[in-house]
Amino acid sequence: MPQRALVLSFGILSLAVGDLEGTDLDPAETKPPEGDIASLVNMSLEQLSALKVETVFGASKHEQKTTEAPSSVTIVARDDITRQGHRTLRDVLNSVAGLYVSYDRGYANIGVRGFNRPGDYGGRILLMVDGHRLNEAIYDSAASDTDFPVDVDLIERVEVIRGPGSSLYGNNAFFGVINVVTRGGRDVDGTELSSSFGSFDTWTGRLTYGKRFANDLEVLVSGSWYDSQGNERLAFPEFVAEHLDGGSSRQAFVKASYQDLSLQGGFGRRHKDWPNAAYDSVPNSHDPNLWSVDERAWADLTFAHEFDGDWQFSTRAYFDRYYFDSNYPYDYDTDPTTRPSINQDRASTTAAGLEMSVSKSFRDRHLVTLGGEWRHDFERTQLNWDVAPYVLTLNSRSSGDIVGAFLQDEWQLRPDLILNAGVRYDYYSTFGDTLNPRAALIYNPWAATTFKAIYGQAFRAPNEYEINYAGVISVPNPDLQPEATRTSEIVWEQRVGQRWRSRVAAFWTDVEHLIELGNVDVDRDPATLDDDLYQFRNLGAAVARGAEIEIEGRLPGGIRTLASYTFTDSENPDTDQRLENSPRHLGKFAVQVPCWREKVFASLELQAMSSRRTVAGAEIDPFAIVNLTLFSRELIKGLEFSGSIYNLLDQRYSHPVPDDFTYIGPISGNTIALDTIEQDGRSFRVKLTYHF
Amino acid sequence: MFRASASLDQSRTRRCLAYSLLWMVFACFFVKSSASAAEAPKEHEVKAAFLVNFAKFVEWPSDAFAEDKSAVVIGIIGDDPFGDSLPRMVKGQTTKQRDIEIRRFDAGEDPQGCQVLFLSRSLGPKTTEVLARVQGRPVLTVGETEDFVRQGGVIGFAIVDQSVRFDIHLKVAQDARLKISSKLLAVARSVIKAP
Repeated sequence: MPQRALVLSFGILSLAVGDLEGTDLDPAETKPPEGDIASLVNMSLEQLSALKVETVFGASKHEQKTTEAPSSVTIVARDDITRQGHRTLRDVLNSVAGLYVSYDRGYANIGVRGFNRPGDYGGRILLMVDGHRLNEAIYDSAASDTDFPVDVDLIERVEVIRGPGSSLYGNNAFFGVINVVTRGGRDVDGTELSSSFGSFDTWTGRLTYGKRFANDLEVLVSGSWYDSQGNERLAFPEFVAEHLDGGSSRQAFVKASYQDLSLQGGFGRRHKDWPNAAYDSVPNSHDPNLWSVDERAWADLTFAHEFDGDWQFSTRAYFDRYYFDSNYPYDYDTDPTTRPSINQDRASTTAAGLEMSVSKSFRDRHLVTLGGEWRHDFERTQLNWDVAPYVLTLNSRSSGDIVGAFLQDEWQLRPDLILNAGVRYDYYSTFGDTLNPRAALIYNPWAATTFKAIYGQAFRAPNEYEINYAGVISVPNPDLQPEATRTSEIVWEQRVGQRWRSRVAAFWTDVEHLIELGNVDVDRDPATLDDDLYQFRNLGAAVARGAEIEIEGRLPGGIRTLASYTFTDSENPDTDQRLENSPRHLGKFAVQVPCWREKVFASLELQAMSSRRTVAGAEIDPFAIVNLTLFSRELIKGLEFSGSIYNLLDQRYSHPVPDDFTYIGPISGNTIALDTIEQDGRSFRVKLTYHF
Repeated sequence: MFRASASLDQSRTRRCLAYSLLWMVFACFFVKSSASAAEAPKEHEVKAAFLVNFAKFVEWPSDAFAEDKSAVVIGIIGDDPFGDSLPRMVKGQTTKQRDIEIRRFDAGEDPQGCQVLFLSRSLGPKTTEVLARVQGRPVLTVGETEDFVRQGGVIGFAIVDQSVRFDIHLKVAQDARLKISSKLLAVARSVIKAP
């Protein structure tokens, strides 16, 4: 099974083979009615091949049915990604219930269920590729735009696991875990050549080779590139940014497995021009201009083996490297006629680690998993300097260690009742230790019905940027403590017939010790004016309660629909105000219609959200965008075509940005806080993929 | 200035929101109206349905059967994962005027007299042993372990993108003198031709 092979290759743990299917505890008790089975045997081979048997890996670190996972889970399959014309992981996540990704034309930030704080780089979400952590140690960023280092065409499925996951994964698994499972060599089975062209002079290309050889060796090698001029003209208060929204990326991805061993390696480098004059830089400056570069490289070697007596053993060794560079044009001499000075900000981190875990099932009642992790950060470097004349304003270098250990038991109390309980201990050389438990009771009273009651705690460790970034106006804070959250959730999953599936969830999340930029009185003398200095401190708190409903339908004729609605009531208990960038209503709808012989498909997506409060306290208008994609495969042998129109109705909409997106207005000379940034209007893309 | 221009689109936004709500109401209505429909299929029910189909899309040499009208026998060796789904599916099904029957074998037994043989996952490492036992006979071996076709089985199930799919080893099928319909080959995830 290729899916399981992937999991075994890159997952941390896996069940004994017999347990993977999970469900067939008592066939007599869970038997469907007579008519149902007759309809199965009368289905065509194609229809049988398309029926879904859902499993998920990331919720418990072993493959299991989504209904048995101790979380609210959504899986986006490869088919949905191609048919709906998703260009980046950001597009994929925007289609998922409860998720919304903000974009400030520099970075895209993932939000979940009412939490998406402007200026947060997605660090409260753990993002993984085949179980390998991608959040880096400097900014914790969960890259989901063109800086996500894996081409979306290489994704087999995306598992979105909502709620706290620190009891298994430790840091960053705060509001959710996103595990991107990639395709294997045997799934590609040959060579793929793909290219696309779209609005804003955007070009992409990809070349992939994948094969499973007779001697059990499986290989995938892929390279991708992306180039875009971006939006030509973007209007901001008092200036227009012309040709300042471009970006480019280069990516390489390699995967090989042989028997119990698997190796994965990836590299991605993304350059992005920023049109938004953030951080008081010079508006519409072209030489020099405002840009950033993010570079990620990783390698991961996993050995997974099942020993006699249901012992499942897995160990992985990994290496990670992250590099960030950016360039800011500043008008230090306040003379707009001279060329701006350049300030450069750079960060890098190198880490290596070991993970090990062992699991065993006892008397078919308990599945116990014990694991540990050790990571060493060789370097965490942050530099900032003015280029001419050269002035070094920040030179922070540190290193550190992280040790974690976890224990989880999946206890089959009765045939219809599972208790999934786990706890993880983490030690950080920066702040000390933290303990995070999670428990879920999963009740399966009827074959088509599952109820879950979940309680969990999670943490986000202060990152290197928050601890050690210091400049002219800010000071470090070595005493930062981790952010903490407690979440309770009740989930009701219901299948209705073979065609419909629904999930209803109610959740309550409480967050404390949120790390925010505050003022600090360095000499503790209120009379002096040191208060202008900034420092990250554990200042904030937040509460969010809400409900979510998701309905998926597979109608006759191959029509597929997915609709979801999330209601979130969020609040900052200190101010009694709704959180920033937190829509009360979030709705998604998608429909895929086969137009001709399972070869041509039309897909429509609708994403809507209600108004959001900005950092400055303003309200952003509600919006709804519609994306339309026409997809065909095998009209010509081996050829896939897709044509998409994004934001079909040309809706104008904006996302909030953090309060450091300010600049001096070239007309008034006043400081302008941007507060929101407008998104792209109607755009298109055509894409061809050839397989041979 | 900037925000003012955005609010021009507010009425269109409201309309879009209204439409999205309408669609969701539609979706809810569909769920309700289909509430009487049957339960979702389990993995092994889908596999059982495939097994019955395999019996229809494969031709055996005449010496594979004792008589002209003998039933096609689906053998299950090892623990039976199908419960009563397979017997109920087989009921009333025929292929080329032959009935379809089910016979169960213990892991140690020699599975004689069956045309389709399903090797249960419970066999574990014994899988290769059972395959060796039926080698050369006109038996369509079907398995569900990871490397089943590589070990010398004819059809191996796999879960791909949460669906039940299968691989076919054409060379092994030819050695067993089985003729596999092109329709079946077309639906297979992969067809292995070389040994």
